Amino acid sequence: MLVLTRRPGESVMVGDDVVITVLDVRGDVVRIGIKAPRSVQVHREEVYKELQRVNRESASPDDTAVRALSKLLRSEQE
Amino acid sequence: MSVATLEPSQTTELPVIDFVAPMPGFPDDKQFVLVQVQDSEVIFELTSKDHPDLRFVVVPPVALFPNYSPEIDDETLKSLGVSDPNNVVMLLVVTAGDSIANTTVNTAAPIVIDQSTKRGVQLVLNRSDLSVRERLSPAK
Repeated sequence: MLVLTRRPGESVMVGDDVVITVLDVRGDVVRIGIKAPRSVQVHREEVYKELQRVNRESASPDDTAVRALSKLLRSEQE
Repeated sequence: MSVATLEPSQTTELPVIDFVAPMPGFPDDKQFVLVQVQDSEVIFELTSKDHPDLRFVVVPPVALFPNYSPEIDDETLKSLGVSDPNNVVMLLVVTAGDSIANTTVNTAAPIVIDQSTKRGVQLVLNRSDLSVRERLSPAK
């Protein structure tokens, strides 16, 4: 891992168009600002990984589960 | 903003949705076909054009959470090419378990689609009151 030392107000560039700026440091909390093109998604790591996990669990469920859900939703609508 | 209801008639032509960013966990799948599940009015499937055996079951929120209408940020609207908010629909990804009790819905990261541009994205709402594994309460 590349390790750099930065002060508040200073930035790091990743590639040509991603800028990460250290905004503020208080105790053990660091606030950072990230400027990136729209095609680059920026997420907190734990949020992204959790979403990755749940998406993988959601993928391609078997028909029994889908039928059960369909039945539930139908009965709720009646 | 208000979100239009997804009419079954709008899905008969099998729209292909271009994801402006892939769903986390599936970096290679950017195009999905949206189809209505047979004999269900409220369940849809997003099937990958790249891997036809990859599909997600999705439901319009109104079927399960009538009050669900999270704010969609301007950046997202821009990336989907939204010109009229009425063209925007949201779908929640279902994690289907072996029973309804084990079935959850992702309210924290809905799939947002603009029906005219046919572009979509899984939007991470960053809201602590929503969950990627929201349980269904059968008795509402």
